[in-house]
Amino acid sequence: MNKKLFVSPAPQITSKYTTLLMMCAATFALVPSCVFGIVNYGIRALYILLIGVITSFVCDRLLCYFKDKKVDWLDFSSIVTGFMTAALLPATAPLWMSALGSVIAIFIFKFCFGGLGKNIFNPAAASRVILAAIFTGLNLSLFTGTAIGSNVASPLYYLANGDYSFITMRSLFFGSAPGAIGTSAIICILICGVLLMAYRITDFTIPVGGVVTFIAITWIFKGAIAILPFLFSGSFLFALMFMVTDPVTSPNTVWGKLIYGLLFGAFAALFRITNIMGETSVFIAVLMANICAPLLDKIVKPRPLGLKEVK
Amino acid sequence: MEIRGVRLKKYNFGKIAKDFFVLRDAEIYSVPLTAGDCEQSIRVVNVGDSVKEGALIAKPNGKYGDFVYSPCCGKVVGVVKKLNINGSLCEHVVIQKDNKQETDYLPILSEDELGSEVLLKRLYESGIMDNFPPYESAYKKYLLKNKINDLVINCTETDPYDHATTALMVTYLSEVFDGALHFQKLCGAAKLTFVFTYKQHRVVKMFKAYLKKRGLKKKVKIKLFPNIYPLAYSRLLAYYLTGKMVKELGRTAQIGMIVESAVNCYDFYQAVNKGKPSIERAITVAGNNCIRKANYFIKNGTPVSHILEVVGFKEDGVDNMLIYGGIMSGVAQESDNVSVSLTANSLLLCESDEFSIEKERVCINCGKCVEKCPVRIHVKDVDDAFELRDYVKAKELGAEACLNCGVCSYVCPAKRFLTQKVQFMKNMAQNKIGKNPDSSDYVLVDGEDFGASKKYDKILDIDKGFKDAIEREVSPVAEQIIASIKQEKLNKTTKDGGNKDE
Ligand code: SF4
Ligand code: SF4
Repeated sequence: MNKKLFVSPAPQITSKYTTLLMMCAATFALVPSCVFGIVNYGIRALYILLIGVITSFVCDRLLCYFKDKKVDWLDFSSIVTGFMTAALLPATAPLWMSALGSVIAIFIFKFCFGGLGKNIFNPAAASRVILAAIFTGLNLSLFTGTAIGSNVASPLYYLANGDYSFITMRSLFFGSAPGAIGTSAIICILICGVLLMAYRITDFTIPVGGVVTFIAITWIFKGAIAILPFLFSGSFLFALMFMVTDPVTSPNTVWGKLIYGLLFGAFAALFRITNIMGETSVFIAVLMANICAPLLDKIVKPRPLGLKEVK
Repeated sequence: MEIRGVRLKKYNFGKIAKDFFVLRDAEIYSVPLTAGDCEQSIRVVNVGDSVKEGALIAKPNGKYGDFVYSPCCGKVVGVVKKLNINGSLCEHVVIQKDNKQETDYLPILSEDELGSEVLLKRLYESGIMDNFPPYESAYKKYLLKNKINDLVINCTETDPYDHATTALMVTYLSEVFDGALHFQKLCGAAKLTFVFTYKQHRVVKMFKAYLKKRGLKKKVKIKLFPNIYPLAYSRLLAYYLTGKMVKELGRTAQIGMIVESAVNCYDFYQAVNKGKPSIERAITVAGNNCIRKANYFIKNGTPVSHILEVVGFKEDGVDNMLIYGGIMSGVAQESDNVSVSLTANSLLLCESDEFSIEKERVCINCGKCVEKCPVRIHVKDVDDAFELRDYVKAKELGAEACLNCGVCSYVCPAKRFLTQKVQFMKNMAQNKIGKNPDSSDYVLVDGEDFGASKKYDKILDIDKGFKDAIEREVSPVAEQIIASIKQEKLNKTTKDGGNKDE
């Protein structure tokens, strides 16, 4: 055998899960609910999504080029961020807002923290909160997300007033209720989220923990009748399935992940019940949970085996 | 007990014949004098000597070393200093085979003289090496003064290519079982447990039928594990069985348990009942680039190039990989100019589509490595500590517990070289780095007498670990046995005139 032999460090096989695959899977998981959004809210939703994704990708790669002087075109993490940022806007939002949201997410909440894997906050959630904070005066209905051509208020409005009769489960499930583009088709979100978990792209401990405390707290404060409307309206499930499960901002250990999920559920339920910020409250809960993640990593640590003498 | 690790069932590359073949003899054998992580044995033959098959060619160096025997009948034509297959520099005795078939085995032990002492002697002088980490001489496990309650025979195969154990259990079941009984007699364990994975249910069925036939069903326990890599590590297996994890560099005998492999049982049977010292091993030769994938009995010191010639390889013009050991923790070889040693399990010749070469990307903080590490190291934090070369932090995080199993690198989506980094930090924490001599090129020293000159005194110092951790716990009786058998053996060789160094 005279040919050159390949040498590489062990192990010589690696699992099929790559960063690229995980990011692609997360992107495709968002697609069905966004398609529902486009069908429900009109073609304008599509423009918002496209602008968000393209701005985010270009911005991310440009920053990467300035930083490292070389570009890895196969880094799709920014596409997920852009997609998510745009999907959190209502279809009535102006197009520039989608672009602005992506730039805020990529530049401030990703690049300034040190790039992929270093950010503390989920960029999409953070940029959504910032947008809501900046533009409160501009257009109040913007973030409560009324559908185009109708004067129906967001389900959250009724929920906060204890009116559960107005919203039908059907409209929540199939996304005709007013809301952000990607977050209203509950059925798609559920299916895609469960698929992601089944294929081990995301971890199931976080959503389980989140749902448990969310249901518990809603039950305590609003009674059993409120559980389903609260759970299925607004962006809670979207955030639970796609945003808090983001590997970068969640803790590393299994127990840490469970506590993180429980915390997120609690924050989300409490903010929703008080309904100070409308739909934005869930994203503030995401950020609050994000802040806890490094702390949880400090507290919950695996204990290595075999460091002590045994007898 | 939670078993962590990865399931590798998807990687079942091709079918490997379950039978055994004896590899055609090579012309030249170059026998490495360091097999595992031990000190190099001292050569007792010189260039020009004739040796028979099974004749002693090296004696132990220091207190705990190994005897090395000639794999064939022939003439010593050279002594070469080169890299062995594990990548450490050591002397190789080059033996040219002749056409004679003479053997010089150890005396056969009869059934009624088999006592604990006799068996320990035999295990020591037969030079059997463990084929699982920490690749050392098999007898060392029996030297501690702790009372042994459990003898565990590890028959699991979690490395996807490794089929030698199953094949051995199918083909030579009674030999393996008798070897296990010898081991039980040696350590005086009350319980004998065989460990399998669920994947090997056919072998288990066969084994149960065999036990029933021999009327030993009550005496032997069978334990099944899920097919999760890694299970070959004796400390880890002991942890799964007892809930106690022995300290790094410790031995499972400290908690009253001894773990042996099925391959060792077979070899020990050969040593006791046939008098055959450890000169060959059951090895799986596999990989997609390999034509006759099978299990072979391969002699110590067989050149890999000879093996490749016999089993055949399709050279498709692709760059291939030659891996010694399993695909998860094996060593990729730079060339086929190496020879097999006694610690082998498998030799893989892989095509380019079988192994993955990925670019290292930034960590996305997913926690998969932390979740899967069998000894629960926070691998991600050790990786961060590596970037900062923060050895103190790595020590605090417990990098020393690492088994070098490769699971973390396997599961990492960013394909970071975590295993190597943790290993580096571990070595730094243990002050081990820098003791291997620089071994970048081969030195041919044909004819020069290395036993006499002190030039290569500071060879590998890894055996120190055993001394530090265990020496104070070695039972004095065992030590005496070791000392006496060594003396006996050497007296014999001097009488035979085979030893010119003494
Ligand atoms: S840190 Fe060591 S023991 Fe843990 S998975 Fe990695 S190689 Fe295996
Ligand atoms: S598995 Fe890889 S990407 Fe995930 S936390 Fe560990 S090092 Fe980072």
